[in-house]
Amino acid sequence: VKTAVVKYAKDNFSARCLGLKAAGDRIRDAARSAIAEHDMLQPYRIGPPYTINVTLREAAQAGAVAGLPGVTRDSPVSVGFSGENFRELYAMLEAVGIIAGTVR
Amino acid sequence: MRVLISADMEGTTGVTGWHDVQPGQPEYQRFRRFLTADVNAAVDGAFQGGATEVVVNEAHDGMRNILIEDLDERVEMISGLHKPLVMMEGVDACDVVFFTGYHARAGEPGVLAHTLCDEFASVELNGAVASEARLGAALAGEIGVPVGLVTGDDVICSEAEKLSPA
Repeated sequence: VKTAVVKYAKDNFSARCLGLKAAGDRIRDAARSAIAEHDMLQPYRIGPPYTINVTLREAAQAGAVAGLPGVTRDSPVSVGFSGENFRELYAMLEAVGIIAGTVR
Repeated sequence: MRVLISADMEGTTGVTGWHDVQPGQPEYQRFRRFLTADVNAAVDGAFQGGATEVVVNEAHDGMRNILIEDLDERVEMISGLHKPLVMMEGVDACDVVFFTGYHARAGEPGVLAHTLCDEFASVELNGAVASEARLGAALAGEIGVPVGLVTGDDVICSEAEKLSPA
């Protein structure tokens, strides 16, 4: 995979940033190389099976999503789910985030 | 060669604070232009490299951030929510996927580091802590699509380089 660094993190809310033109030049060059050399690219394959574990901020959020089909509660703040189809797990992860976000 | 660009915003050039990427905040309008500029650079590079089609999938917040009036006219854009594969919508109709404006995972010292939403302290995939880039790469990988490019800060780019050799 090609990368284009457009800023260097000092911490979560600060960075040494390239200017727009310099950043654009880096991105354009990396994108061009990625496609021109696409025969070198390999899909990132890590399964199946797949297991996703999520640690939430609050126990109540874990409690809310633990009721979803196939979702197990692994600790007061963590849940997990597994399967053979990553597309389904990706959708479940999105649903877990949406439901957890409603718990206040 | 069909290219999908999944365009997040926290890793955009110049972005360092949440107000830069939150709709409704004054700074947001300025950084939408930067976001669009970064995406346009990736589009231009892809076509220079030989791409025949580029589709841009909005992948930040409500997924209505890119200024379509300033977007390269050679591309089409997937905008808005809900869409089945969310940040990765369109990955099942491309040959290579790019991640632009991506960011480090929750808990890392990268700019605006998080994983998907505020509610997640961490996400693990098959036992290893995962960023949004890794999750997206795994989804693309299941379909047989490689990741060709990741842009953002040095933290996410360093992680991306571990997903596969350059």
